[in-house]
This record gives sequence, structure tokens and C-alpha cells, in this order.
Amino acid sequence: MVRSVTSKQQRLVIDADVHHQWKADSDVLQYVSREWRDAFSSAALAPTGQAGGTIFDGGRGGGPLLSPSTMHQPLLTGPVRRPEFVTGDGGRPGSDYETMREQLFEAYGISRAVLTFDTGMQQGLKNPWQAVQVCRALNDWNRDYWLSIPDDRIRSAVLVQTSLPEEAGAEIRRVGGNPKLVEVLLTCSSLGRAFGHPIYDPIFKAAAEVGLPIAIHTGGEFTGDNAHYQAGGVAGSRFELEAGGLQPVQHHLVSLIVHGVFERYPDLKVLLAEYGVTWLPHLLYQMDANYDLMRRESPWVKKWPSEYFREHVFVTTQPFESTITSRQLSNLYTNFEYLQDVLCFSTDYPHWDTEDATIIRQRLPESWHDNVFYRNALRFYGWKESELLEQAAAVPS
Amino acid sequence: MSAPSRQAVIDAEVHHQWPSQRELVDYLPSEWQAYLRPMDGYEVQLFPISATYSNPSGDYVSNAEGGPPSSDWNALERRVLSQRQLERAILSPDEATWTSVMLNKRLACHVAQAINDWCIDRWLNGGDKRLYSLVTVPNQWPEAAAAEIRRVGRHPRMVGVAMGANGLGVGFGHPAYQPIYEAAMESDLPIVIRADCEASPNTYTHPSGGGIPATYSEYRVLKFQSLASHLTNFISEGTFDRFTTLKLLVTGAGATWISTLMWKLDYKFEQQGREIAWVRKSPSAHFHDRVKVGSNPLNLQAGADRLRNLLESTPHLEDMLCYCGGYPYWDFDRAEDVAMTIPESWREKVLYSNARSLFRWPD
Repeated sequence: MVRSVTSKQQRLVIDADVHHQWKADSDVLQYVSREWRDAFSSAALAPTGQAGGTIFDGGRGGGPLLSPSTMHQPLLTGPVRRPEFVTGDGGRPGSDYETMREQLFEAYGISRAVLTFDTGMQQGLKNPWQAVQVCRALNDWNRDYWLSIPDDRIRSAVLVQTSLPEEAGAEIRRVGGNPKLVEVLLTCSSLGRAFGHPIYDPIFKAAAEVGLPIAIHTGGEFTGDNAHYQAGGVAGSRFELEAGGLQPVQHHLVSLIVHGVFERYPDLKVLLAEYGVTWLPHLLYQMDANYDLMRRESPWVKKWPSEYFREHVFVTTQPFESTITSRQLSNLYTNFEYLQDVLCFSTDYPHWDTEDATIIRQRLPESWHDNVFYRNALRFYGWKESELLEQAAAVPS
Repeated sequence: MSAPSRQAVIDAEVHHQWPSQRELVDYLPSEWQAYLRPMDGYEVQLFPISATYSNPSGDYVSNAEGGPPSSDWNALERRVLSQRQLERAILSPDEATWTSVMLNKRLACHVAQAINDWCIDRWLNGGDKRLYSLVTVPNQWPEAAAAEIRRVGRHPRMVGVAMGANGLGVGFGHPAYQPIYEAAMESDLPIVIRADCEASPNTYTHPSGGGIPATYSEYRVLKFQSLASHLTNFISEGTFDRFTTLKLLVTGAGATWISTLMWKLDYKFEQQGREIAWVRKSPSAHFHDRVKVGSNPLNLQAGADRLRNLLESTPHLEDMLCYCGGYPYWDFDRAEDVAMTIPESWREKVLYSNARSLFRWPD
């Protein structure tokens, strides 16, 4: 197969957000301890009509253990995943390596991708002990089914539940040593407070110990637990839900800064995944404008909020609002040029709004492209360019 | 400095307040007066709780005379009305915002009536003809709120409806709130929504996504989310399409958030518009026609240049932005602060004509 790299040279493209999936519930359930398997497996293993669910199901794999009804994305009005990404054997998009290799790595010319589950909302399960078990099983399944594939372009995340932060810390220490696990994935603030709140500290402590950055991914608060996914009442349409879906991460970002998480963990890096790109200047400005207040209420805030942001925070490009013209975007980013050191390319494969590199190439100045397509991700994950270039040269085609 | 000294100004948001509850209680029916005064020397507090989040250094500008500054006519005169170029000022709720989240909804109806009658007597029928106000409504009972709009909304100095805090715990575009919009549209009154409408503990909704803020600064940075949700809900529920001349002013969170909301909504509308097929225009087109944004708080502290650039990069903002002073809150902005921050070519619209076209003035 010919690799369709579009640029002049061997350009690296790192994809910071790809969703992967199990083929059958039993793939995961085999890792659940016996006592818990007895409690859940009969329902979870019930036939669902199609192996691993369908492209229409919004994240429900079928069984209530792995994806209980409270956890699917509400308000579905069409496929959550693209029909053309259905795997060769009719399985769910994102569940088969060969299909992903062809459709993502080869077709989009991806040098390395971070697989982030689809979408890890199991961490918000209402029974916290069940969530501990399911996240452990998913991490074990991930190790054996995906991280053992002899393709060095694959990396992935540690999935932890968030209602028992100490247990989450233990899980990060248990599996975090695997060199193919490159971040800790958080999707849901189960305790009704944003992630800077000191109650979540054990997660950040363990991540710092193991040396992993944190990725915060959209969608977890849709599980509608203690934290609402938006201010002012629940959504009445998917239009509304997805528009409001970035409110939690805005809160997480403010919260991490106000509660001094970056002061406590000076090496911590955080990636905000799947929230779009036009909201940053507004929020960065408003945080800076309230710096005096923050210092008065939270004396550990010692720098301008935008300084913490520049030193610690990265943001994925997808979903890139296509309604902003490149001229409007460059006006909006005036005084925020440092965003070129922050944005990391992502496709969101295999979801319905998957983006390839085209939109980024069209909208962002060419001088930003290398940073956005790989350099920022190299810094976030602590990878070496030379290593990726060598690996790219060695990739079997 | 090229201060716009001759530009006439409309201040679309000046908060006013009763000096003591007693003044308001006089306007309640006798049985509710008796309820509030069960024994000599004791008075039940009508508003025992207010906003959850407070500035640690105080919510109001300091008032030399003491007492709530929003109730002090002399202070208002000195700080706001003495500006010669001020042509009109709209007295807006202070504590009255919480009427719509009073748990006893029948009492709330009477309190809303008392507030409106008190406002007309004490402020609008007084000597200063530059003062106007907004109808306070008990939105937790939309039919009663609509009746109140019909009762006092015809007063020539009542130029809009203050929606108040979120009494039903759903987005303001929700059909449950429709009676309020019917009555407002009938009376040609715009609706004013403030960013603190989720800030009371009596509100079922949250003031932010992803959890409850822990500090005032987090709340303050995030309170635009409440307005963003309500506007999204107005679009999504087709409220602008159903109420074809209804207009909104959203205030209390500045204006830097509105551009990203419009880009996001237009993007989602392109992708998913068929789900809300009753919406006949793009969200940004609806915003442009129906929505005005209050300027307060400007929050200049992070640099006037950065702020000006953000405002300038917002499509159509010069037609949407209305000067709101926000007196007597600690972060109130004088008209000249706003004039010096925005592009010169926007001044006439922002300081004057956008508000002139939005509210139902008697002239």
C-alpha cells in the first residue's frame, strides 16, 4: 500500500485523539475478577444483535456492565461513528487494528496515534466499586489486545474512574509503567467538582509519580451525575448538548489554575481533547482579567493564568469550528500567538466528525503547521523527533 | 484623551434597591404584611439568601453614607446621574432578581407586584425624567409572570422585562416559559437576562458545567456559561422563530464570550440543523437580529488592547453591544471607560442607539 503523505517531505503527523474499542464484551469481561464477573456477566453477555454494538449506539457496547444505559450519549439523531469506518467483519468502528491501520494510519499518514477508548465514560459509573473493576479490566484488555500489536505507531491512555481518587491513584501506579501508555485519561468529574478541586489530588499525585501527563476529554459529564455538563439546565437537543459540551473543560481549566494544581505539580502537563479552538482567547483573557481576585481568594496562584496555561496546557484541534474563516481566526488569535505552541492535531477517528489534516492546513498559518501536526505533541508526550522519524522509515507498508 | 463628551448615553443597567424591607412590605396585601410581622419588633426576611458567590472584598462600591448603595438616591445622583451626557438610565433589579426563586410562589407573585409598584412610586414617578425600569416577574409561575407584565408593562417608564433568576430550572427557551414571552411581545418589551440567574442556592440549575465552582473567581470567570446555555436553548427550542419580534439583552458577563458561541452554534447548526428543523435562520443571524449584549463588566485588567482586539474580532458586535454601567457593583464601568475601549466608530451605537432601538421607550 502506498502511503499518501501529502507534504513535500517525510512530515510527521501525530494524532492525539483516536477512539478504540473492543470487538466483543467477552474480550473485556475475561479480565473482571471472578466475584464481579458473577455479578455482571450474565446481563453483559446477553446478545446485542451485533458484535460490540452498532455505529448508532453512541458508545453502548451492548452489555450494561461495560456501557450501562446511563452512560450512552443522549439525544442521538444519527450515527455517532462513520458508517465507512465499520470494520471488515462488520464490527464496530475502531474495534479492529487492520481496519484502523488502513483507514487512519495509512490513509491519513499518521505517524503515531494515541488511542483514548470510546470514550472512557465507564469512569463515571454510578457504583464506584464497579467503576474500579471495569476500568482495571479495560486497562488489562488494552494491554493485551492493542498495546501488544507490533506496530510502534500505537500509544494509549490509562483509564481511571474518578469517584474514588485514591483507587484511581493505585490503578495509575499499577499499569502506568507500560511505556506504550502515555497519558492518564479523565472524562468525568464524578464528584460534582471540577478537576482542580483538592478532592482529586490523588490522581494528579500518582500521575506525577509515574511521570504521565493528564488528558481531559469531552463527554464524561453527559453521564449526568453530580456535575451537570452545562449551566442553566439540561439540553433538549444534540445541537444544544454538543454546543454546551465544552463548558466542563472551561471549568476544569479555570479550576486547575485557581486551585494551584500546577504549583503543586510543576512538571504536570494537561491535554484538553475535543473541545474546539475558538473559545481559548475569551477564557484566557477573562482568567487574566480576574488574576487579582484569584490571588486574594487562592494565594497559591502566583502567575498570570495565561502563563500557567502556556507552560502546562495543550489543546487538540478537533472539532475545529468550520464556521470561522481563516481571517477571522487570525484576528481572534492576535495577542494569543502562543496558541501555535499549544494546539495538537487530532482526528477523533472513527467518530462521525472525524477530521483529516486538510482543515488545519487551510485555517492555520503555514508557519504553525509543524508545531500543530507534531512538535507540540512531541513536547506534550516527551517524545523525540528522531525516534519518530526512524520509526516512520521502518513502518511496513 | 478624546473623551466622547457630547455623545448622549443610555445606561441600560443601574441596580436599584429598597433601603429597608419595610418600604417594600407596605406594598404587600395586609395578610402578607401580617405574615411577615408575626410579632412586634420581628420581621421575617423576604430574601434570606441571595447569590452563593460574593467578592471577598465586597460586592458593592463603598458607600460613604452607609446602607445599600443601590438604595441611596444621593449616591446614585453623584455617581451616575450627574454625568451630563446621560440621557436615560434603566433601573434594574438588585435583590429583586431572587423573587423568581422564592420557594413560596404565591408570596413571590405578591412580592413582584410590590416591587413593581414600589419602583413606579418611588423612582419612576419622581423628579428625574431620565429614569426607566424593568418589570420584575415571578418566572417560577409563568402565567402569573405574564399577568404581571400585562398589569404594569404598559407603564410608559417600564421599558423591558427583567427575567430574574431561573425559577423553573430549565433553559429560558423552554416552552414552559412561553407565557412570559407572549406577554412581553404583546407589550413590545424586550427580555433582560442576567448572568447570575443560576447563582442562587434555590435554583435547580448549576452556574457552570463540570461541577459547582469553589470560589468567587471561578464563578466570575465562568458565569458567561449560564448566558451561553440560555441563548443556545433559545435557538434550539425555536423561541426566536415562534416569537418573531421578541428581543433579548444578556448582561453581567461582558461580551468576549459571544463570538465563540456564535461560531460554535453555526458549526453545530450546519451539522445538525435537521434535528431542530423549526429553526429557520442560522444562530448567528438570529443573534444579530434579536440579541444585545451588555458591556459590563469590561474587565480591563488584562489589557485594553487585548480586550479591544477580542471585541473587534466579534462579528456584528457593534450592532449588539449595549453600554451597561452595572452601578453600584464593585466592577461598574463608567461610560467613558467603555467609550475608550471600543473602536471610535462604535461609540454612538454602543453608548446610545443600540439601547435606543432595543427597549420600548415612550418616545
